[in-house]
Amino acid sequence: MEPDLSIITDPLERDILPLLPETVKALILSMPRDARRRTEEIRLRAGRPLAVYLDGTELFLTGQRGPHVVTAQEVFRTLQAASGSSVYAWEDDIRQGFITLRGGHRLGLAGRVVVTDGRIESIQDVGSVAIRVAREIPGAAKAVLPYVVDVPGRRVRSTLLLSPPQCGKTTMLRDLIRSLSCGDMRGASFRVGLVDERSEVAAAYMGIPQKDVGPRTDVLYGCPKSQGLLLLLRSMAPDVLATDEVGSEEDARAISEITRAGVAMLATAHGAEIGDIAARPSMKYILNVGAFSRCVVLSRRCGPGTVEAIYDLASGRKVQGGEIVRG
Amino acid sequence: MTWPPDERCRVVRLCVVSLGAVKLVGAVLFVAATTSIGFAEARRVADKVQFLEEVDSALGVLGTEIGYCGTPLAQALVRAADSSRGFAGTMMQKSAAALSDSAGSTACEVFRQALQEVRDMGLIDDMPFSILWAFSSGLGASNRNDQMRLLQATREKLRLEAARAREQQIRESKLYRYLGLLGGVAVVLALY
Repeated sequence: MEPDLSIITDPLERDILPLLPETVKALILSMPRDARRRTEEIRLRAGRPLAVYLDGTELFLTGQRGPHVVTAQEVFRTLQAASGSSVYAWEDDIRQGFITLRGGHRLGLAGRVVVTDGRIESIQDVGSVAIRVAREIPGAAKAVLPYVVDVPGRRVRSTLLLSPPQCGKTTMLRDLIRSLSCGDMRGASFRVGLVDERSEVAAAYMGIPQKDVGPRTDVLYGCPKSQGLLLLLRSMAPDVLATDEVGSEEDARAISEITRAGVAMLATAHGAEIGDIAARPSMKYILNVGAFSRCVVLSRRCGPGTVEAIYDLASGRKVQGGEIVRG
Repeated sequence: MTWPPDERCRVVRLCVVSLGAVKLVGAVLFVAATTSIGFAEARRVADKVQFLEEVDSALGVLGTEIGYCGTPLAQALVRAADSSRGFAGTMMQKSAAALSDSAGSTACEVFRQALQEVRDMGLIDDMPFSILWAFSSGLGASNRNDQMRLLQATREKLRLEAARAREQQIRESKLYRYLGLLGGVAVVLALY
């Protein structure tokens, strides 16, 4: 009889361990419980040692006979288990280099890329998989919330969350959405429309969000961001629209249209500083049209979710800086 | 006490008649048994053909689910099982259940396990067995186009095997039936 996984609260143990080959699972379980709970990523690279990423460091796991060298078969089994032996059903996601797992975790993959007419057709002979554990941190956006919500005006300022990968952008976005939806900021609650293209923010399964995104949040998932944002704008009358990892020209055009329609926008983007995104044409366009009024720069200097600075994009000045605030 | 001669004759006659009746009943039972063995063997040959045809049909449904709907494999196998009767349906159903129940198992493993059970029942010969065994290694492990090609190639091979099995059935079905009946009669006559 299969164990009842619903009683396990740690997302790594509940959602990810059942997908791993027995040898890898045993090594992960041999880690101290506290270290397991702090694990952010598990990496299986064929022919190389099994690695876990925690506290900003990638560590190799060792068994009784030294570091465990991952086999190609173990990588294959992990991918098969993650896709429910249905690689074809995840074709579009795999083309973008990842699969979203139940619970909102992401499995990134690398291997031989098949290109047809200059377009990535698929990734075959997968040699590396990186499983990133998605954890909810209620209150992650508490420090940022006063800069995002204009309580007297009962409006939300369009905000861009900016950071390199693994600095807690998605976690902060999720908590911002939840806070706005719940009315955490002195009771000012808003209707939020979330376009969750990769199902990472709300981790919706059969239409129901698995992560807490609040009672006033409508989730559109599996849909291209640019189309989804405009769809929600027309169909759900949101006060705020949110999406993760914007960057394309289509995204820029859609965001510009939304903010001109009087709806606030919350989004995340990759970049260590504002200068990084200003160098990208599509993001430069977004900044120039004044689609966002706030930009929150995150890092992992004091752990994931460290707020480095909050900028007022209209004046170009730091609204909050110098002092480091943990999110 | 001694029996009178007439009574003794009557008892002997009765014994002889009874013995004859027992022999007759035994002969009839023996012929019935050999005949049923012959018919069972003929049925087994027919079942092999039917199994291959059912698997071909189930793979057709699987192809539709994978190629046109992109249905996840566990669900696609359930739909393929629903559309086919007999042991092929059972094989698909078992594979689907095993795939849904154990997150760590691959489609190849669960399909091979179900296939092995079918083989243990004597429903599949070596050749179609090895075709399906090879098919399972690629099941669910590639993109939609490759899956469709794999299914197409497997179905073509299975159809050839089904045609071969059908010819064998025509040849051997009658043989097994007659052999069962006539073999039983021959043994009975020889013993009489």
